[in-house]
Amino acid sequence: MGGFLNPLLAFGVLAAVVPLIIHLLNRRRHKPMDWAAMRFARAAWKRIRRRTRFENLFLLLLRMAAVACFALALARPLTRDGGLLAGLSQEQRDVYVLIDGSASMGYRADLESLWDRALTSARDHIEALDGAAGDRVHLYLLGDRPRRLSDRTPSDALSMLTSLQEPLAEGLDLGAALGRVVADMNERNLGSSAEILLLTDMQRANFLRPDGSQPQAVLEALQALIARKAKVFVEDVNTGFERRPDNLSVTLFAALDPFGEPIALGTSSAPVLKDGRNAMFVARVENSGDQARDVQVALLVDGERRPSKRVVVPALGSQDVELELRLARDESRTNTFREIEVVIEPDALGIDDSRALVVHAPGALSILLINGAPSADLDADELTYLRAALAPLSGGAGPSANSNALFSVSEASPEDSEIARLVEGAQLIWMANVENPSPNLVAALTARVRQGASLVISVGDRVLPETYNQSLADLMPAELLERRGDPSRRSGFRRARIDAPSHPALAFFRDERFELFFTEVPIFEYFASKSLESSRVLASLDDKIGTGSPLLVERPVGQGKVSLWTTTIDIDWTLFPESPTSLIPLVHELAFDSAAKSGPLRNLQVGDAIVARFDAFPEGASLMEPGGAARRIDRAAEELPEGSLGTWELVARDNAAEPGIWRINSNNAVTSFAITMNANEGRLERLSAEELVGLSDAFATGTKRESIRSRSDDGGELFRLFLWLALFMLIGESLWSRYLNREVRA
Amino acid sequence: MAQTEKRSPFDPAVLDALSGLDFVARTVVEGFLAGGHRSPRRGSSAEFAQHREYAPGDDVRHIDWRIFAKNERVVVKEFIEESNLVAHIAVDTSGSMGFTSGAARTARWTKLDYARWVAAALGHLIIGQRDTVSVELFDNGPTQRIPSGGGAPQRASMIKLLEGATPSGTTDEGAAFTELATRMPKRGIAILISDFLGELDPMFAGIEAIVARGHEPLLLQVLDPRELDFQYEGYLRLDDLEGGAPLKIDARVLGDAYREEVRAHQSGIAKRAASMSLDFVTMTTDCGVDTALSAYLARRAARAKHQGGR
Repeated sequence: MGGFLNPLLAFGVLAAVVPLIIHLLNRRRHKPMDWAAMRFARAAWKRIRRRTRFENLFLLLLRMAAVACFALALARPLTRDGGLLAGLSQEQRDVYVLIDGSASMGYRADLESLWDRALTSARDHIEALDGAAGDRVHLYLLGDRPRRLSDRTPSDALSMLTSLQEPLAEGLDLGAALGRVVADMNERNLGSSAEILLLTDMQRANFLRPDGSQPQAVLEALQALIARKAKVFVEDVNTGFERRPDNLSVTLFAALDPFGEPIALGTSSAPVLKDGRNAMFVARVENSGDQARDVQVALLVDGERRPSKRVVVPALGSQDVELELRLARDESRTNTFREIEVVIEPDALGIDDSRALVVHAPGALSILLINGAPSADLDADELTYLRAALAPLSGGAGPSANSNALFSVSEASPEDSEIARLVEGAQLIWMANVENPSPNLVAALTARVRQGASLVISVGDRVLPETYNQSLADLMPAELLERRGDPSRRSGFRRARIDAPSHPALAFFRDERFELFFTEVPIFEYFASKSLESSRVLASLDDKIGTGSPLLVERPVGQGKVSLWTTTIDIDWTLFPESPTSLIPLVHELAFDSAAKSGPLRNLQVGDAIVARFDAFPEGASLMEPGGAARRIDRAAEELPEGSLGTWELVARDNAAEPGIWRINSNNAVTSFAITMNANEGRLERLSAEELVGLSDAFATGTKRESIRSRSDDGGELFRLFLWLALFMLIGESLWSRYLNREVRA
Repeated sequence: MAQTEKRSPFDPAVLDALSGLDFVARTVVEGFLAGGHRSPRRGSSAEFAQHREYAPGDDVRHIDWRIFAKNERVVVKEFIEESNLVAHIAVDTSGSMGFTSGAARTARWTKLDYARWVAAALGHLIIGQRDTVSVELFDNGPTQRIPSGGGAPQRASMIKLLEGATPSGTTDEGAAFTELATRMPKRGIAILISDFLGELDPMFAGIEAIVARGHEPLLLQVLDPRELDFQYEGYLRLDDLEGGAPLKIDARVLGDAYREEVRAHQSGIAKRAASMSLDFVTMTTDCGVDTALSAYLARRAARAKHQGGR
């Protein structure tokens, strides 16, 4: 025999001794009985002993053989070709049917999509198998990961096929799929007897990297298959189409920063769109066909179509399209997130014709400036430069006069009787050179910051370190030490160094063109400080003491944060405010960073979980899919720990399966999410059959099923033979027992 | 102590429905009484037997003067002599007689219990006819004996002897019967009560010795019904009641062969007994003593009547 499919069960043969043990135990258990007519008993026993022993031995052997055959049948023995038992074996087929379920399979050049063709072909293959003969189908749907749909009978696989409706909005990870097949074959101890059928559109990117090499996982899986003498029969469901099917796809959609660079997602829940200002977006349209195409590219904002552009996309190339968008301020809107979608004209593959983004448009930011050194002389006033930096660029009667202003700025003195109320209404509070913050002010600041506001503390000549360290202990990101520097400005100055370039507040200076505006500005005086453990130093000074005294340090407090600027925000100690290209980006980015919401991301990939946070319990929440279908969310929201952003967190979907805009409707509010898919799926360039065969010996192509029938080196299974033998043994045992009983009673 | 006190096997409470030996014996022997017996010797009883020529020395009182007056022949009358019956009852008390399968109606009856009843019943009958009875117990030879006698004292002695009999020892019917023959001085009926499970040849050698002494052996075989049908299942270890080695068997498969052996043995006894014109009666312990004896005695009486007595 050539081994077993279930080797461990082969040990079940040992159970054949069970009838023997029972027999021996029974023999040991002779019931004692006094007897008088011993002469006759002895004579009779002597006469029948030999025959009885033979009969019992035969019965015992039948029973043992029945158990052994049954155990062998369960262990699924295999024969080798040429073996004595080869003629008795039955070839049971194990067929792996791998259906490419990637998004590109939705390509529809005529009435039938490639996905439909793949399902039809899979059905034909499976129907050709014989479940009664023990054939098994291992049906897998392939996407970013392989999904096993069935590993039982052909009828089971056929019923699973009927449940498949659409391809996945995912790419195809061929290495993971083949690796899974190899692991499964190892588990089942299948060799070349297994038939592997891959139904795919032959998308080149699934087999080869852009540089033409094969992914390592694919290589390893193919090597394992070659070692097992197994072949992967690749059936091209896209036959009849050209090598490069026409397809336009949107492969990139992003908001642009002021420098024209796409804003990276992931640092906050959404890029901040400055409400009321012009915003730029870029959409990249790729053409995988051989012909140049012109296409209309349009933006949709909250589902409303905006002016579009027509562009020409070169053959086998891409075209970036910049689209400008101005969102008018709408005070009636409670949802500060906006859904932006770019769409192109529909083509044969529809799933890649749009891409969505959810952006944060928080409206005018409410800022309170607390002036610790006011003066009628603008040069002496602490806030002259800061006030100018926050003023609307278009000018106007005052900082908050323009309805499209980025910021709504108000001022107060530390002793203002209304200071608590003013603090409560501000999203960002800037406390500049305040000599001795009153307990009332400290309490108001602490409460507000804990609720989520941001506080920036800038120092100056009026600040007493001991007072700050003591009264603002709950808020200060660092312990103020001593004032340093040269007031005469003769002995040199300090420069700033960016310690956290990824921080949004310093995003502007991340660009090497603008880094100098932060790092080359002289700072003559400052307060040396010692950062707290819970704080993060964003920028420091080159004061050659240790790692440098912090210049800008941030500390999270409750749901808000406190930033400490260890020099003045006027020009008393530094020339920083005199440089608009330094002060304005710093102040603006600090302000926008304070408005950026943390928490669950709004821009996700296919397969990510959709998670939302709410201040009020999301009663009766429902989830609307991109196609418009809405379903009630059965899962209960979970309460968040104190200090988190929001009170309730709701996981609306573990796995977002479709690209587009998803919306959670709850408490009369909408929470939007943008789901995007793998951009590669729109690149439909195909691999030719010759190229495929050249990739590996494990690949085979063809359209007729016979070509995938590999001859079995392992021969067939003896499963049924042993099952029949066990049955015959049991019948024989039954008949023999019956015969013996009849003989006894006759 | 009352609980450990040995109780008589004839205790009515122990012997189930049979309340007393005398009662049982009387019930059993009614058929026997109907028979009666005549001596083969001519005697002086009132019953005429035949005439014969006068021979010198004959008692002149027996000359039939009426014949002399008519024919002038001197003949004498002969009369049938009615003698006293002497019965020798021998009971097998070997170990095999202690067997009981529990299949009998009275489940605790051993073959020896049954044999005692038979012996007591017949003894009671014979003494009741003013005949004499001797009782012998034997296994591989005679063990206990009460000499021949009659009347109530003999009956009491007989009961006492039978009550004290316990199964033990091995059986050797041949040796036992040969020796019993020498202990029966006066011709009579030798009632042999045993299971007759021994070898046939020595057994009948002993019986022939008894016949040679002029006795009429009556073979009463007492068996347990299971000894005949062997209705058992499963694996059994048969422990020999007479001390032989045990035998482990599968009762299911042994049954047929055993029954064949028993049938052959029984047939052999019956044939040999018939060839010697002996009565051979098999009684099983599941059949009442009265029923078994009555049937036999009725059959014997009918046969005696048919033959015109002896």
